[in-house]
Amino acid sequence: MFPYLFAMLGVLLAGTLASLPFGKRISRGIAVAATLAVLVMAALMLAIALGSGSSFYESLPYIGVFGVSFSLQAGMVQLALVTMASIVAFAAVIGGNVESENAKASNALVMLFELAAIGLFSSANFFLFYVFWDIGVIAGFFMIYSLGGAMRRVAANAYLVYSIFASAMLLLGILLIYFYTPVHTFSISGIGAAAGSIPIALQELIFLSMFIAFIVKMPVFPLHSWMPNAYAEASTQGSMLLSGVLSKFGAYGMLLLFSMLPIASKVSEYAFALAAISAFYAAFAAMHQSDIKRMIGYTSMLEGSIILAGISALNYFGTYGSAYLMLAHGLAVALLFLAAGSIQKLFGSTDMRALRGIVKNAGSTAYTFLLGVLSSTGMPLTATFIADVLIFIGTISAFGVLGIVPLLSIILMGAYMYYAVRRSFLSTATFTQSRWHVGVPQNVAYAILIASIFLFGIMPMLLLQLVKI
Amino acid sequence: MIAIYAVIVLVVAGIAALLARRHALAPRYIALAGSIVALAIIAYAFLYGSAGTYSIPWFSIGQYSFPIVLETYSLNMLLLMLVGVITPLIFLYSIGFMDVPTEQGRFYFEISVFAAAMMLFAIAGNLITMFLAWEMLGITSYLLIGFWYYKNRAAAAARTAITTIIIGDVLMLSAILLIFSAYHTMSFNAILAAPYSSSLTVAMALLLIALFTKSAQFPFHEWLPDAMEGPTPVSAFLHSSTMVKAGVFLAAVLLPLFAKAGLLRVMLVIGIISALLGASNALTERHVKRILAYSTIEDIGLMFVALGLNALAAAMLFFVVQAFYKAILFMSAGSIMRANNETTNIYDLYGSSKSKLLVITSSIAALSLAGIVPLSGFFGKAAIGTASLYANLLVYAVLAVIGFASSVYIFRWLIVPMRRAPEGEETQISSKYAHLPRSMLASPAILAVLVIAAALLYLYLPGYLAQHMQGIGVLDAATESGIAVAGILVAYMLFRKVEPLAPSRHRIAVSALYNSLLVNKAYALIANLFYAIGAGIDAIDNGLYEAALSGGNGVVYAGGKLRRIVNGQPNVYLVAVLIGIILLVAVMVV
Repeated sequence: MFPYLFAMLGVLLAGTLASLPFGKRISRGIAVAATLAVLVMAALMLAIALGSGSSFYESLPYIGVFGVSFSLQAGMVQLALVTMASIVAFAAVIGGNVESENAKASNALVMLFELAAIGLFSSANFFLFYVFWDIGVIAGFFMIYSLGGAMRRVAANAYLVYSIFASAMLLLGILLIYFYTPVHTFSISGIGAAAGSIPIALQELIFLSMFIAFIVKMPVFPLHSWMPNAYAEASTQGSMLLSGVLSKFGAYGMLLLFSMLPIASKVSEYAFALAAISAFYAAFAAMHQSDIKRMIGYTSMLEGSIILAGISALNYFGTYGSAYLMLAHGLAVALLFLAAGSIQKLFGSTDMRALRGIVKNAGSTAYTFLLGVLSSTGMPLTATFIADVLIFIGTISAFGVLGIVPLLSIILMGAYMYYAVRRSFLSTATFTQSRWHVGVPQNVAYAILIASIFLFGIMPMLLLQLVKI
Repeated sequence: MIAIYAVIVLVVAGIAALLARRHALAPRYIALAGSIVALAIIAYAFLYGSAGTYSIPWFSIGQYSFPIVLETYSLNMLLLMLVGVITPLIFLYSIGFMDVPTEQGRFYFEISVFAAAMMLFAIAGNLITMFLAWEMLGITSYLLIGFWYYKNRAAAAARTAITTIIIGDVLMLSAILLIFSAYHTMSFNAILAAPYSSSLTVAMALLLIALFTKSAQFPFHEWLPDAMEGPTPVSAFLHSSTMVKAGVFLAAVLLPLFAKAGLLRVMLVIGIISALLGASNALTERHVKRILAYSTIEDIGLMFVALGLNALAAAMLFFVVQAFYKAILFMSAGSIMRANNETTNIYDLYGSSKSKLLVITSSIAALSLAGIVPLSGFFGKAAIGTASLYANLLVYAVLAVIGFASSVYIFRWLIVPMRRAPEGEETQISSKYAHLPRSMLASPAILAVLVIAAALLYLYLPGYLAQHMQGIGVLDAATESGIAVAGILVAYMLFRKVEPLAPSRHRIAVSALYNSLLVNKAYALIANLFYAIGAGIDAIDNGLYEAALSGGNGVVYAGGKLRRIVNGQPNVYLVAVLIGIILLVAVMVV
């Protein structure tokens, strides 16, 4: 069979390198072509998986001494994430660079980041997982540090400190697993089989260090402090990819961690409690934000917490619901940040105390934002709804009536998002003049993301059919 | 399963109207045609369709599946028929009302989807399908209430509505998932047939709160009067057959479950409180449409009272007949406002008697609301009254008071705008009444016929629903009508002259009755409480960030210190090793 996963990585690597020596227009053309090719390949993989019901496994020899091979795999969860990453990256390349500054660097960075994302989501062993994790971190850093807004240096430094800390914890966990499994393996499926033989005390240490690494990235309270500034200060493409895709690095890792270590069943209640606290914390913190991008950042943290809640249920409803929410939230939050980026460019601000009457000035952006809000609050026919249904059936069967608690935080989040809509989008009391025109690329990018949100909301069997129980 | 095509036709018509928005007149006729076709389909399904459930697979995981299920039992068909009849009449009224050419497409798209959502709600056969329709209703009503978004008040009203709606939505979803977890199915039939498990009490309580949000019952009722900022056809639609009726309908469908969960008493109490609040505010409100909105809160409250008494047939009888007169009243209010330059205070509205048709149709509706014999409203109210008479005399007494109040306020609403216009404005206002668009008068006229004809439902509805209903005795009828007549007389005495119940003279009485401001203050208080918590959390969040920052700085600082110590001089290392050994020994000994 054609090695789709290798081909994706190859195309993206080639695209990243090829776009560097050329000017603005050619590099954009290369980026569009590369991300589109990846998107098409992702769609083909999905079609093949639906047709044959098989999953993907591709392998090349790599570092034989450690028993590490360059192996990629894709089942339902991985396909969901790869598809999501390729859609978001494509939309980001098409319409994400609303600032239209540093077009060359931004295109290359998006492709590099997508390379990391697809590599990470499909890696079959923790060695590759770690390598792609760090590539993603570095690409994200530059999206903040060199392409971001006025406060980008501070935001980027905080991001970097947290990321290095997370990477170190992740590496610690991976190495401990490698040394204390009898077979000395990095392979994700191999660890799952062998992890039972690791002593409990050591399992706790491994779990804790990796758990910390992943909640930094998701982000989940209390290790989220890098997030508001990073999302708010990054370039529009950066915000889209950091919130939509990079946060899923942590979420996906968490999913692997819970399915891998037997100790997970002992701590799942604590993880769920943390998720519930984090969800309400994020909802309340969002209520005090006046900057639209920061508000979206906190709602993204809330969804991350719900993902953690679903994972901690440790049943297939929770697990696959979380995977579905990773997809749904990635699309929805990218849409919101794209709209917010357009608003920034249109009015020179994302401060909802100053913005008025956006719907009058930029209808498509306003309706897009509203759709993003609807999707975040779990409207049926959007992908988030399917995810919420699955996740909370999972948490109820694991934790009883209390399992529903994190869902209630959506009331607070939704109420505040509608407040923002009423204040900045509808009211025209003092009219803000626009300085820019939302162009065709932005509208196309909106359309791509909206269509995907509804596609996976209306036809969930596209992915759920791949679930094997 | 032919009824579903009505939903599809309306959605398609709505989209077509949106696409045709550049043609000034096309959207209205596309939507009207769509609604008439939908009505024809529904009528066909009503007459010839068979009762049953139909399942369309949607998604599944493991051994559990989540299909779209539709059902066509008598209750479903009753609501479907009601929405089917009201929709074309609303669209007909809108032809005259919606004369802003640029907004046609958007309006007809939103209102068509709104109607379609209610139709889907009517025939939903499982919880997930119902929730889908429920959310579509909520979102389209948000868009419609905020239709004139550039008006500050409309935007604010839309936000109040959606805030209430989202509370209901999330609680509803929670309840649905809890029910699914208990029964492993979402089908109404299966849930109603299954043995009751006590773990459902929480779920049913959450569900009931969700129903109260949608049906504008205490303490979630204030969004409904605010929603009057939407276009009048929307108000007429919202209050007669859609949206607020959704909560009552679902309560009726799942009534046995609520009974098992012991929540009927809650329904009864909340229904009475809401009805009292609605009636008292309607007595003192001055906004011509808000009076009717409070009246709707009262009507829905009475329906919950009937359901709380387990009198399903009485509740559903009132459910249907209320739609006809309430639609007329709103349409009339829209016409009167149109003739008076969109003034809303009833004391500034004049000359409604200039239009004979308007005054006749709105009088029929008002008499029906007041509960005068043989109009359909009488049967609805008397059925509930009779049900309460056999169950609880206290409830009966309260209902009598509410009945009296409602006949007073509705005749205040009817009589006050009939006054002759002040000198100078008279000719202008009369000519405006004379030039009201015909469709704005035709639609209420058709509804007036329905108000009279629907009296027959008293005979047929219990049989159709296969439910027992307490017969209305002659004495009950006399009491009910007597109370209504007394109310009308009082209203006539009080309001035939100008400016009674002026705030200056009856301040205490008025402010006690008109508690809308108080409720809104309570809402603001709760919202501010949450904002305060938000501010606190945000302060903690900033503290966390600062702590992380200073922690980072601390590491850098320690690194700088460490660099001075780790300088490659053996004696320093030796000292360090010695200290370490001493410490180690100390630890081992102790």
